[in-house]
Amino acid sequence: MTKAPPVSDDELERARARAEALRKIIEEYARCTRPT
Amino acid sequence: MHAADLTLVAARDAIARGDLCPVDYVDALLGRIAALDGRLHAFIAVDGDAARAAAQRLRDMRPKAALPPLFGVPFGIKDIIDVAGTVTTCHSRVTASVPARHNAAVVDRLIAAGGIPLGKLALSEFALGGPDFTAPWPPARNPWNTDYMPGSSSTGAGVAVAARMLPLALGTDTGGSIRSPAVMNGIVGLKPTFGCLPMDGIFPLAPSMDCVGPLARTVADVALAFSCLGGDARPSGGRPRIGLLDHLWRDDQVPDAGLAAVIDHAIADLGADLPRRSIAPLNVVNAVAWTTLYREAYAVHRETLQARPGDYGAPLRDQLLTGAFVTDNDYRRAEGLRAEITAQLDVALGGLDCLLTAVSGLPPCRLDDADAIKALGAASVRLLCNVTGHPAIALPVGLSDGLPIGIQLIGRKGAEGALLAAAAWAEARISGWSAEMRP
Repeated sequence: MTKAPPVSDDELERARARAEALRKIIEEYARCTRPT
Repeated sequence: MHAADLTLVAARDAIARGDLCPVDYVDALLGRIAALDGRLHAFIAVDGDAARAAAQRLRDMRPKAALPPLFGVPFGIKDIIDVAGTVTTCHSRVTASVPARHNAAVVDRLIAAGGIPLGKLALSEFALGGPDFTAPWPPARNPWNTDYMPGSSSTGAGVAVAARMLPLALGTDTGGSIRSPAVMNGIVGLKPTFGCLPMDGIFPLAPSMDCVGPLARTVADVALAFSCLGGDARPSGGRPRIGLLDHLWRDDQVPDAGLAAVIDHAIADLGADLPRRSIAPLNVVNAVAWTTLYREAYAVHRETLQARPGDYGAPLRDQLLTGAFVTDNDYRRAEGLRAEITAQLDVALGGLDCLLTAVSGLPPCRLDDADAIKALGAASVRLLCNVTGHPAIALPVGLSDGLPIGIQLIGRKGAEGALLAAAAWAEARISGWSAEMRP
């Protein structure tokens, strides 16, 4: 992220955690469905 | 029967026969709006004078030959879609107060077919936020129980049609925003194939997923509106070939028992031998959808969010900010999986006209229950067709605890005619619902 919008740290942390949760689901699916 | 209670096709036919005057029809709908909308909040703006004037013009200039297909039929417009001379608010205090200069292309198409714009309809802020009680307009309420959600995000469209304030409304669908209010209010909604209808004059949410489409009371109504919008609704012949895509709502989550019973009853009405198909699990489909949607929506709102974050409602701002943390790599990986899931869905549709699944694993929840609204989002089976671009139609199949429950049928890309034919076939056989059922 280049520049955080001027909102509370709590809001930014919730948004970061949500994006991270999505990333993990996609990474896990890719790991399970593709041979390494 | 009161004119406002007529379905779109019935009203159109009554006008064509000369049994219903377009002016009387507009007045009947305005009367219904005056009686109900004070507590349902489906409308952001009603332009009764312009609608009456348009109806008078149509009455006075009635052609002798064949009438255009929507002659004299009023319709409502989700307020994210431009109508010349009115402000497109997007149900937000963020938007400018400058009226749109032109109609959106889809509005022009309905007017060219003889339709009459009657008003702008409430929505979730910018088609993404949750119910926001601090917004300049109150959130729309479910006419079956006004304490409950009317779906999201084409809320006013679903409520106005279900409550017989309109026979037809235009909505948009980026993550199920036509299908959710359709089933939660007990009406029918069609999300066409991505790219099938023009998006000119419609404020974007996530441009690679955005679609516009009709909400009405019956499959025939939606088919008529879709053809007037420029879609190909020509039906295919014969008994439709329907399969089940039920792991998304039955196995990949724990569905509500009452909802499951209603949907199982509907499936039984359609026959016991429907083949089962499968694709990637629901959490993966939804993660791909949200990654894409958040990233694209953040790009649309980034500058305004930097300058005026406090002007966004908290439920929307919370979601938009997620896009700030979706990286280029996340987006690319989601794009790759979109192609994979699209191919899976094409394979699953092999030899079939459509796949039947739920729209959500949960029924409507209370409008003021933030945790339940979050759970409703996680249980959504709506985003799949926005990930892949396939068309889908949602229709009601019964009631659970006094609230409507629905299904969706997912069709092959560009084959809305076959999808609509299958939906009409299903609608005629489902015993738990009829178009006469009303809030």
